[in-house]
Amino acid sequence: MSIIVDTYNMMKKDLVLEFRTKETLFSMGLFSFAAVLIFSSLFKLIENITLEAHYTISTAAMWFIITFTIMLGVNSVFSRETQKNSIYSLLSLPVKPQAIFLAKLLYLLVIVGVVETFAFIVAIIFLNISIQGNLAIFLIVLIFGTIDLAVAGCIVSLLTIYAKSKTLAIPILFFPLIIPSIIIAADATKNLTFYYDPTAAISNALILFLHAVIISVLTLLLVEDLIAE
Amino acid sequence: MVTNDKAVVTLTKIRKTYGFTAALKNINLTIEKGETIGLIGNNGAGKSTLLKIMALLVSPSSGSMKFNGLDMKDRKSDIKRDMEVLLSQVFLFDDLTGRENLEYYYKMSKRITNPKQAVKEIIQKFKLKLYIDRPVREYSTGMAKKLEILRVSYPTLPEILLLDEPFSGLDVENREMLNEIIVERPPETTVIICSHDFEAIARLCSRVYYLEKGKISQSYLPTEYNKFLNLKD
Repeated sequence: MSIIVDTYNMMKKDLVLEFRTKETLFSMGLFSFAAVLIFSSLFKLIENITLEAHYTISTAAMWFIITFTIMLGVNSVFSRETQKNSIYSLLSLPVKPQAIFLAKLLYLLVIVGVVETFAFIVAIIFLNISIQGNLAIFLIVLIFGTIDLAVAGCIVSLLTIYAKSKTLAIPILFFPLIIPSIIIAADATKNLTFYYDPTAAISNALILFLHAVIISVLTLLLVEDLIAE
Repeated sequence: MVTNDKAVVTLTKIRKTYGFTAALKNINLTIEKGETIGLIGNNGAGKSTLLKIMALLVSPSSGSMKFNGLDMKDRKSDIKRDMEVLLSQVFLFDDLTGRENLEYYYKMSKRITNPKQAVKEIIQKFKLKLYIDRPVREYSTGMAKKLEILRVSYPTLPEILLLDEPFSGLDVENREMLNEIIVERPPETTVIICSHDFEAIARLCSRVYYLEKGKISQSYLPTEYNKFLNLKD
């Protein structure tokens, strides 16, 4: 039970700090809003766009925005501990390293969830995505895809704790790790929005979820060595 | 190495390298319960690295460490519950208030049953009412340092207190407060202080080790301190 309490306390502290300053939330929100507006204005410039092209570009745009929004959040995951060169404030706590990883992952999921809720509404309006079938399946794809990308982001953030140039190291490690997930997530979204094939979309979503679980478990097994200086 | 029943920390052949640079070379050290140990040396001698290794913040490249006879590699989180560390880096979060910071760290330390009550008592005892509910970013260096001292030492002291350059940047009042904490601590609390200022820590310590280029080159008992001062001259 101690690991759950520790995870909750550390996550709560990070969320209190984030909602107090809103630095990351604001940058993520602003980016997603601006990106949705840019993509929607692009559609207006293209004449005679086919329905398939419209859905393909909309889906790609949606996952592009989600990926880069998460990447902005990934930068902030360990920033409070590393910006004052005091990662030791985290390492000195009598908690299991797994609790540290879980707390950071949950913190990232909460802030990404908040921004995505906002961006989702904006995207539905501006990108004109109509979910032909089941909204619940669309949300499952969105949630599982987001969880997978957030887990990958949190792992990258953990791997780069001691990196001198995080802005360089994070994209180098993050993109190769998430490209298969983005392809599957985009495929799932298109299956649902254009082809209306809920079975294929659910299969894709389950692959994303399974991928997230596997890399999370592997990280939880190795986190003690990853976090040690 | 001679085994010692009273030993709270035992380091055997500890070595730490950063790339090709050896920060610590073959350190053997036994610290008994209740002792006040001083680690002194010039900048880059390896004393802060040694302190961080003992605080389980940095892993040694080789060697073994025991805490109360238990291997420090196992049950790290349980061992950390019995120790607190004060480094030159401030652990407090700028956007939390002093009260929130103390409550968070007391809660996480697991040594204190009622963190909120403990903070209330500290506010009264140390007259912190004026600034305890302000964000730490508004604190002066001295105020932040005072809160850091309270973070590691109140309301109960841990079994091991590790202090890295604790007196640097402290005003007279805070220096006296820290001296008082060390001198009047319970007999079972072990204190390890690392500093380059010999005179600041000499009168507090029961043993002082002099580190030079990553090795313990000398050790002194209180009666032998003059020898060190002569060496320094």
